[in-house]
Amino acid sequence: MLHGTEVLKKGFAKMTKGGVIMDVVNAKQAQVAENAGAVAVMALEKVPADIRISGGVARMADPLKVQEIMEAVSIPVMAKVRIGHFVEAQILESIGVDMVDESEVLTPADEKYHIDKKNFTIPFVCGARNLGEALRRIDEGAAMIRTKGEAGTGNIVEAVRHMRMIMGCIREIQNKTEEELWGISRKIEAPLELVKETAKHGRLPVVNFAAGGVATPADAALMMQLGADGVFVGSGIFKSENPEKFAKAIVDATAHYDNPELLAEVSKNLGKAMPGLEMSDIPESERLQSRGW
Amino acid sequence: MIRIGVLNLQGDVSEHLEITYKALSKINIDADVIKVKTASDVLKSDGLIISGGESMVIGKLIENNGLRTTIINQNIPIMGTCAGMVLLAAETDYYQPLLGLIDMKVIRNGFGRQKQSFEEEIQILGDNFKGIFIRAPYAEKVGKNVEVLAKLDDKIVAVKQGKYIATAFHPELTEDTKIHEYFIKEVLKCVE
Repeated sequence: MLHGTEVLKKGFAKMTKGGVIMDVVNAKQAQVAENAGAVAVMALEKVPADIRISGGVARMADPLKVQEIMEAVSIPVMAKVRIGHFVEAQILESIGVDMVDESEVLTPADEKYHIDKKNFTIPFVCGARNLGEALRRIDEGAAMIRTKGEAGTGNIVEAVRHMRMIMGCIREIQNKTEEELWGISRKIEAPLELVKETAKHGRLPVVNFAAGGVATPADAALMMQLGADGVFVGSGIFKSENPEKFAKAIVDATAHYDNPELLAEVSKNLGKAMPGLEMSDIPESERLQSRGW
Repeated sequence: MIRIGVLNLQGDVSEHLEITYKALSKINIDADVIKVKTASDVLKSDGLIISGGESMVIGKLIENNGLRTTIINQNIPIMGTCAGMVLLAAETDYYQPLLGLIDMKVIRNGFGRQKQSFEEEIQILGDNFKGIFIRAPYAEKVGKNVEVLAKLDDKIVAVKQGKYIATAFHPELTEDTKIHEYFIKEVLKCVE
């Protein structure tokens, strides 16, 4: 009996396709997410919008809190660790978290290296802004990629930029010759084998979600139409006026992303979305997306 | 020409589309494979596959779209894998929408969480098969009209009742088309 194989890790990520993964900070929110149709929840101490406000070092959540969330729902539970903090990941693996997010939303623990994710039985998801970054994470063992976007802003513009970068680059490399792919591999600093695999299939070798700034059903559908396999929603649900309604509407919008009539229906009468942040109001040094490489 | 639908609400839909095409070409059958999202898509289908994913999510989306009665009344062969097996069951250990087409009680995440997910060789349809079990369910008990196709230790991991087939594992994540071929033949039988 084999555990923790590539097939099992990537397979787990495939099972979340077309779904919405929601940030939650306690068991009650986790139940709201499950009832609304979340495909998984991300257990956190604080949602990114609050991390942004409170400042200081953001770390892995209290394992007891994560366990409370695991006990409250039947869907998979994910949790975040700091970039490079493999001990936080070992701790989460030991309590049985279903997937680890090595996340730029928390304060990085290592300025040089990401976690060697192949050493773990449970799968990892990592953020990326472009194809090179995505393929480096996959080479390290990530079973799933998500755009970084700019977490906690309720502003979709960065997630759109990152998804367009990744999908655009994939489209570009599809018609390249072998020699051209050698050059691209060097240019984007990604392993040649993964560049070739991506070019051949016209998609990332793992599931590719959108994250960072999704605040409305239309945002979720936009990311799906741009080529995302599914959507993470961080602050967008529990910072909105009506979390139950927003959660359900975003689930429906993700499943029916190409149906404008239905999108109109689910977007009606939701109340206020989370307050947004203009990118120009966030100094470069405070942008979470520039963490990791 | 027969038409096989893959329910396209949530889960590993494209993997099922791919292996269904592969299975069709292997046994030399000409068929359409379509993604099914609406009742009219269901009505066009001669067979339906329900993929892996989160059974709770797929179940809710089936209900919200008013697909439940259409799927049941369509009276066509249906194959469910993992989440699809849960949805075909009459009963589970968790409160959620079900289609209730196979007389069995299913335990969700019956082998544990992702850390306990596993690959294991199983015996099915008189042959070896690479079983990929991801937070997989199993059938705790089945009715007398249910044929057990595969067991792992004492747990039931594949069943058939009439035209309905369910596996706790994911044939769509392997290269082996055997189980999809079996399902396609079932569809052909029913069309005749």
